[in-house]
Order: sequence, then C-alpha cells, then structure tokens
Amino acid sequence: MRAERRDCFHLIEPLLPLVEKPARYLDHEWGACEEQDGPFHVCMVYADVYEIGQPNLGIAILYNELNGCEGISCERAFLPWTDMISLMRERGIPLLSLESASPLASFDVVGFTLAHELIMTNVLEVLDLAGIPQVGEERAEDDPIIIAGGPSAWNIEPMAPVFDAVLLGDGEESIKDVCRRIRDLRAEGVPRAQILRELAKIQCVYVPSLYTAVVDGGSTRWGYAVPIEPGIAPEVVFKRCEPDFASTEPIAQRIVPYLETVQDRLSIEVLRGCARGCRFCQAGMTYRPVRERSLEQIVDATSKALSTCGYDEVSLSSLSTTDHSQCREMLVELGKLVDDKGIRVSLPSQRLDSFGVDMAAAVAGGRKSSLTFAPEAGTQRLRDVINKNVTEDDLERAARNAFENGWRKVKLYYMMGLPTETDEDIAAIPATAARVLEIGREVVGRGRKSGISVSVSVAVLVPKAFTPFQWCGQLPREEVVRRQMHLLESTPKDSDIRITYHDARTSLVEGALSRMGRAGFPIIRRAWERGARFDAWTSEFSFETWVEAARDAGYDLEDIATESFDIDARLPWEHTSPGISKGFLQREWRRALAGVTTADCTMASCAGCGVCPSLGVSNVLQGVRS
Amino acid sequence: MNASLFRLRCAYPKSGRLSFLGHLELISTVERSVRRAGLPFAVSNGFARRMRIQFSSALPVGVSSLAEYFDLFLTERLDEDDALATIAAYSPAPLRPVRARYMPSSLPALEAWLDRSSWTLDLGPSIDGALAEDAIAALRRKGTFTYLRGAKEKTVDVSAGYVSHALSEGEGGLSLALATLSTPSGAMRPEAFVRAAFDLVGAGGALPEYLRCIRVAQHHLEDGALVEPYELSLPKLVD
Repeated sequence: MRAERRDCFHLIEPLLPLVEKPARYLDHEWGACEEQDGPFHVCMVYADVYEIGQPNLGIAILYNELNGCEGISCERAFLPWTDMISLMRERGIPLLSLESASPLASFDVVGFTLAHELIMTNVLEVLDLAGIPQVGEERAEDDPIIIAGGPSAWNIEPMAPVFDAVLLGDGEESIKDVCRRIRDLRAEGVPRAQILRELAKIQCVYVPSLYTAVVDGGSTRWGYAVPIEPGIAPEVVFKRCEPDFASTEPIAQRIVPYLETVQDRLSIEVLRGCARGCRFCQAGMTYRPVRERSLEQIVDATSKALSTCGYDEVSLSSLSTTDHSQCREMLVELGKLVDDKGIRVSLPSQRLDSFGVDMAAAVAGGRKSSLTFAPEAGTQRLRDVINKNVTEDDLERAARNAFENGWRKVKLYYMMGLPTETDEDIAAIPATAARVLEIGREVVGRGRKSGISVSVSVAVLVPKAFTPFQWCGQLPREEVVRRQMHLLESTPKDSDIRITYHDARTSLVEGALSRMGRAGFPIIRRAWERGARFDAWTSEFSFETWVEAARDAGYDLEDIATESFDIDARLPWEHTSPGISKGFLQREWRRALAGVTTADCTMASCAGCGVCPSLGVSNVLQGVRS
Repeated sequence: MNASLFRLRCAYPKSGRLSFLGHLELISTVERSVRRAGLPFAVSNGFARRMRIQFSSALPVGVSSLAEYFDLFLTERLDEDDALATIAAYSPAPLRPVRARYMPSSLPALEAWLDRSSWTLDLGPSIDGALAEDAIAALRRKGTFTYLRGAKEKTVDVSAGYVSHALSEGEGGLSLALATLSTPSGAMRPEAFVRAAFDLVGAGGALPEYLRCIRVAQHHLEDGALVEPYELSLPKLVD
C-alpha cells in the first residue's frame, strides 16, 4: 500500500546527535531542488551512503532531467549507514527521501542506479527499510514502481525478481519517457500489471516479469530469457543511445555537498563511450559509440559550473579523457580560466600512449600529487591478449614525461587472472614498477628527498557480460592467492615501491553476481537475510555469509564464479543488448587467444562491433584523434 | 602576514540543520560560498594553493551558534557592506553572514584570539536547579573529567576551561548559561562538562539524550577584560 506523503524529518532529527556524520541526512545543500510540488513524485536512489552516492553522475543527470519536466518532481535517497539503520529500525522509522523527507514508499516511482554488482544487497536493504516489498510480484497495486539502470544492469538477471522495469543505456530521455508513461497510465487508472506491459513497449525498457528463463541444451545452466507471451515484450531489448550527446546538458552536478564525498569536485563529462576495445572492459563495450563534446562547450560549462558551485577542483571525466581529440587545447584553455584561484584541473587516469608533454604541463596547475596510469598487464604479450594497445616504450615515455613535469608519485593499475596469464606475466608487474622508479630517479635524483615512489594496485579480473571475456571463468580463489604471493615474492626490496592487491574473496562474490542467471536471486536474498549489506565496504564484507547463502540456495559460490561458458551457448543476458554483436565478441575472444590486437575505430577503420548499424548511431569526434 | 591584503571579518550564525555540520564540512561550505560570490580572495602559495581564510574555534557537531566568525583575506578593498551582501547571497541561509568589517592584518589568528565562549544549554524539564548546582560544584571540586571523543579518551582540566555559570528556569525547563575559556591545550566542550558533572552525582540518566546547546557569544580575553570580536580596545568587565 502506498505510504502517505508527508515531511518526516522530525522523526530522524533526534537521531542526528547519535550517529556518525549526521551531515549525510541533512539535505538543503546548495543547488538541491527543494521545490518538490509534483504532483508526480520520483525518487532516485543510490544504495550506499551519501558520500558514495551523491557524486554519481548518473543520479545527477536523471535528477536534473526529471526536475525539468512539467508536473514531475525528483528527489534523492541514499542508504543510511549502519548506525542510523539500527536506530531507524529500533524506532520504526522508514527510509526517507532527502528533499521532502517523505517515506520512500510514498513515491510514484523509485529508481536505483546500479554502479556495481556488490550493491545488490543494499538494494534489498533500501526496499526493506522503506517498507516496500523486495520482490515485484509481492507489491500491491498502489506500491511505487521500482526501476533500475546503470552499468550493472547489463546482467540484471540475478535481480530480475526485484525490478519492475530496467532501463538500458543512456537515461537522459528514457527516464522521462518511462516516468511520463507511468504518470499518464496511473491517471487513467490502468492496473499495475498493464502498466508494466505498456512500459515494455518503450525502446530500452526491459520488464523482467514478462520473461521466463529457459534452460536447454544450447544454454548455460542459468538458461536464457524469453518473452512469456509473444508480441508483448521484445525478444531482445536494445539500449537507448543519445546520438547527439553534445546536445545534452554538460553541467550535471548542481548540488554542492556539505560533507566530503568520494569525488569531492566538479565533474564534467567531456565525452561518452570508448572504442579502444580493451577486452576486459564492460564500459568500453556497452557505452559505444564515442561521442565528444566540443572544446567550447566544455570550457564554457566548466567556467559556469565553477562559479555557480564554488568547487576548487574540476575533473574532466569520461572513460578515456586523454583520447578526446581536443584534449590538449582543452587543458590549456581551462588552465587560463582557473589560473589565479587555486583551482585544480584533474583527469581520472591517463592513457599511456596519449599523455603527452603538453598535457603533463597543463594538468593540475601547480599541485602535482600523483599521476595514474593503467598498463593492466605486465608483459607486451598479455597486453596484446587484452587489447591494451600500449607498449613498454609508451609507459617509459609517459613516466619520464611525468617526472620531468614535476610529478613525484606514479600509480600503476594492473589486473590479475587475465586469460593465458602466466607467472612470467605476474613477475613482470613489479619489474615494470622498478623500471618506472628507476626513470624517476634518473630524472629527479636519488635519495629520500627526491620523494619518488611508485604504487602498484592489482585487481582481479571479473569477467563481465558483453565483453570478449564473458565466456571465461574467473580464476579460482586459491590460484589468485598463489599469484598474489608470487607477485610479492617478485617485488624488489625497495621501500619506494608499494604493491597492493584486491581481496580475492570480494572479487569472487562480484564474479558470481556478474555471471548468475535469474535462478541466482535466492542467493542474494539469502545473503541479505543472513546480514550481508555494504558488501563493497571491507569493514562490512563477510565472505562466509555469501558462501553460506549460496549453500542454502543449493549452489557453490566459487563454482558459479569460475565456470566457463561454451562460446556458442546462449548466455543469461542475451535478451538485452548494448548493440554490440555476439559475432564481434566471439571474434575478439579468438583474437585474444591468438594475441592479435584490434584497432580503435576512432583512429583506424571500423572494427565491425555492430553498434553503429544496430542502433543507427555513429562516432562523433570534434577533431582528429592521434 | 601580507600587509597588502585586506582582512574582512565576517560574523555569521550556525543554525537549524546545519548545526550538524562538522568543522571541516563548515569550512568547505563557507569556502565554496566565497568562491560562488566571486570575491577577490587571496590564495596561499605552496603545494596546495588554498583560499586565505581563518575560522574561529570549532563547534562540536550538533551545537548551534549565534556568534561564529571568519576572517577572509581579500586582494582588493571592497565596500564592507557590498562584500557582506554578496557573500550572504551565495551562502546557505543557516550560515548567512550578518556583519563584515575590516580588521588589522596584524591581529593574531582568529581561532587563538577568540578564546572566550558563552553558551546556553537546555537541561530539559526533569532537572532540578539544586541538583544541577550540586553536580557542577562536585565536578569543579574534582578538577578533571574524561570523556570519549570518537575512540579517544580525552581528559579535561576543569579549572582551565571553566569560567562561570548561571542557571535559570524557562518554558522548556532548566537552562544553563556557561562561560568557558579555551587554552593552547584545547577547549572544554559544554555538553561533555555537563554530562560529566551529572554522572559524578549519579544523575546522568536524567539529562535528555540530545542536549541542545548554543554558543551565544565569543570574545577575546585580555588582562581580565572581554574584548568584542570587532573591537580592539573597548574592554568590558569580566562577568
């Protein structure tokens, strides 16, 4: 039943002195949309604490789009931290939105952004705390419609029972289409089940309840989803893509948080999509094609946003910012703009092959703390397998360039568990770090005062849907741990090289969640029942809880994560599509095993991924990439 | 201190929900307000080039105030009232500055200079005045108390931090006016003082879960006399 819409801030106000970081729950930030007249009310939820969720660009974009619609209001909600959750449960207080402090269960639509797989138990926690049934089929006629989208919607099957509808791809227009449709149908008194059937007619909207999983000889054990009734829902739901990305609003972040967030800076999305073709990268495959904003738009938007928000740092965000065809000019122009105000321009990470001397000089103004590169694999052979088209020379040139331009700390990101990986590839990681350190010492000098250091972070490959590695099983945990030990043993004894690696157990849970089909939902629900939440937080994660939850549901967690799929099998997520063709992914998998690279179509000819013809779009570049 | 800069002292409240901002959160909120206002603020040199701004001493989270101050160093001398109006227009309402005047650049740092604070605390309807007097007297006799600040145990010297107190009955119950002095070793938190006092006489449980507290004034203590934040030589007698 729909809860009553009313301001309940007085219920949580007495709890504020009793919890950590009460600023998480205050609302009233500069730029927040306080006028929430509706009459149609949507709440966008990031199912983690405020400081993690608030900087999310997806939420910011959808919030602005919906609040710009006549008759629709959009608010935000985040999952309170465990101390606040306990107090709210103790006192029977339901989860509230920020702006109007209304119960989440009073909204017409509740939308989740799924930024990663480890957020799924938090989604269940949000729904339970809000008093909204966790499973779609248990919801009453008048309950909010629960929708979702975001990067982890590309294998949504394990959470299919939860969401009434899932929006695939760019959300700028589709969120408005969906909310307007629900509003109109509600106004006509159309029953909930019929509303969902109508939503399935909108391009990019996947309504899980209209599909069923079929397991047969051509599928994996998870089966594949087919429409229950012919003609009601499409066999394949294609993503929505904004062909004219530059026509979308460049300033998404208008709300200025009070408390320090994980990305406490202005973020301008300078381009969307990446065609480098790294074979492990889900975003690189699912956000295609590449669409750049123009230099003028970026500089103008940055200037306006800095003055309206008051940030002292701007990040030029995208999947690969230094690939922007006008990146050099952009950095120079922004440098002029922010020169005397103590403002810093930053890039999320730098491509080794496109980070030139001029870029190094232009980034970050006077403050040069550390520079991040992602070679991803230790040897050229393995970099060719994963299609990371950078060479040893690129790395050495970029490192020398960075040290000569004033940086003293370099971070290098790698992965472990890549297909065909050997101990030699692992040992090459610290060897490369040592080489980078040596370059730094050559340029800056030796001794403590030089301040040179290299940190290496090694993640575990989690094979994701719609990548050429989607057929690979994840590396077993025991083998990950052995390779991590080998990594440490291969590292030279030098205090200026720091090696860290991801927890093999967390990666295993992420791997299982990335590969399961619809039948995997009982594992997630059981894990939540056993107390799993905030799984992405080291302090809260319990591997044993997940192992036991899988066992309760009749599965072996490691078995799920490490299982390889036949290359011709119908996969659990193939009824949704980012536009990339299965043939292209199969070809890329074979080329990976042969160590053959594939060029970036923004710099060479078309690689035949299938996105442009299937979605009727194309790359949009502002200049020539080099 | 660069003598060519102009030191604008702004007085502002900290009220409503924003009393729950921590000190670092408050600093970044005010800095962002100044940037939005487009004032010609000075920037420090060095590795991290930051806005030249000083704040009065940190308020405990959840404590509101009628008398907070920051000193903003400007590179141009703007009209004080124009500067005030501009920054007020770009500040969240509960932190909106109400007064701005230039002060000599040579003054000590604001946090160290404003060392005397006056507070009022609502002790709630179930506290008896005589019990409160007994509790405070007992704690003053004891001389020190310890409390947990996060995971850290902190010991407070009452004789260094306590200045005076007065109790009065109001509509909502008993109200405590407390004056404290901060020293180079730290400031005494009014709520911690009150809870320690009541715990000492076995009456801690009578206090409300949330002790509403307001900082009502800040001064500089000079030779036993109080100096107002905008005055340099108009001392008042110590109360």
